[in-house]
Amino acid sequence: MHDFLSTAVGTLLSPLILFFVLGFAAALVRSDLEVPKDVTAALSLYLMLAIGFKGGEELVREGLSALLLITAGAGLVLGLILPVIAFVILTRLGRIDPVNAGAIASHYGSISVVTFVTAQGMLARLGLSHEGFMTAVMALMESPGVISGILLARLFSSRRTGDPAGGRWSGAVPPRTRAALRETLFGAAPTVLLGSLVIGAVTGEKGMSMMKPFIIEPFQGVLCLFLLDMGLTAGRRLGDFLQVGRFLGLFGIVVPLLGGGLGALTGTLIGLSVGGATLLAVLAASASYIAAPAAVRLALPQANPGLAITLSLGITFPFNIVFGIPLYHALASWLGR
Amino acid sequence: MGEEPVKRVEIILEAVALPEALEVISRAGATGYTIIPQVHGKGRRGVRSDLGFSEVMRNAMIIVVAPAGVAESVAAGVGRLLEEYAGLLTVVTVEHCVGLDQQSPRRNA
Repeated sequence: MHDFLSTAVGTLLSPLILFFVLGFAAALVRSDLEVPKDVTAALSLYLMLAIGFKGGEELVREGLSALLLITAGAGLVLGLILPVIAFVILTRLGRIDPVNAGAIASHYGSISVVTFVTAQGMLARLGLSHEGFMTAVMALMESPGVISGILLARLFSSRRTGDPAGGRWSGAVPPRTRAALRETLFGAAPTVLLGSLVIGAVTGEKGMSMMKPFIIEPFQGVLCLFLLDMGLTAGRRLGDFLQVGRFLGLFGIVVPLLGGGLGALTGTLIGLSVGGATLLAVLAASASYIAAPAAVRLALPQANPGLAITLSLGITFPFNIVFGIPLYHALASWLGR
Repeated sequence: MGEEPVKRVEIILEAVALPEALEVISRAGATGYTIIPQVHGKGRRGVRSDLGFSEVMRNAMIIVVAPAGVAESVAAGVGRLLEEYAGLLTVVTVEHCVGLDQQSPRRNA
């Protein structure tokens, strides 16, 4: 308990969280503080590039191992199963329609890169190492959850979920599904993340020593700036968050806890270190708000886009970075004893 | 024989639906369009403004100026998209227009 509290306080007092809180508070007092949206887009690109490159270099440094393949498999399975759990909760307990349930489930099946790096930062502060391939596992877990959620919505929805009538389109895969698939696999975020991972892996240590001044030293500062903007966005959309209702509000906390628990347990069972199991828990617990929304919007245009992004950005993201990460770490430590 | 009147179609649409709208516009036979990639405002889907890190809450504006027949096909096609996506479409008659390419072959839907 003492460990958990000291970790929690340590997480809360990191510049990352404090900048998020600053943004949130600035929005609440209606400050005119603003991060230009083009800058946010560039910061997001930078983060993906830096995370991917570093992950690729670490992947090659450690080399292929049985544990890597098992973790990748476990990550894929988690990505496919988590949306099913979310979908069942949403449709059965919350009586949410299948289209909106599938859209939300897609976000929760995918992962949040920023939550992942915040957790990595916390592990570093605690002096805990983790398997270097976790970034690659993260990249792998971005898309399956999105696809799984979209499929659930289509499978359980009697409403027309897709393509404009008129019979102009041909081919087995409807064009909107194709567009959504393209977005989830080759959208801006996954392309930069996976591409940088490959470049990091190919150029290895030499590439890293060249890129270090750009992607390592400024990283935490850039992340702070990004989190400041996330805080502003979350604070300014507080009205929307309050409108999602008690059930969905609770969903945004309970489902990450379930995912985190499942992730920590899986990580421990397959033999990851405490740091690795914590990261797998964070991945399973986090919900996407960068990569998933556009793909889901294309695949399920009838779904309310405000709902899923409000939940993942406004409730699950702050919950995870403030309370979730120390909690998943405490759980992984306890399971790993 | 009088010349066909020219119309201006102004479309505000979710940015994610932009590629689909542009396909509709080109299929309708329009020879050009102008895009304002980022606009924000409030409508039937509440406040919509760019998040920066995801385009899902961003709106874009497309302006198409075309002969009336083409403009109506554009309006009908994009109108169908607006049944599902956020946005607004208006069509007005243009009184005076310089610079419109009317030479290209066009195909009415």
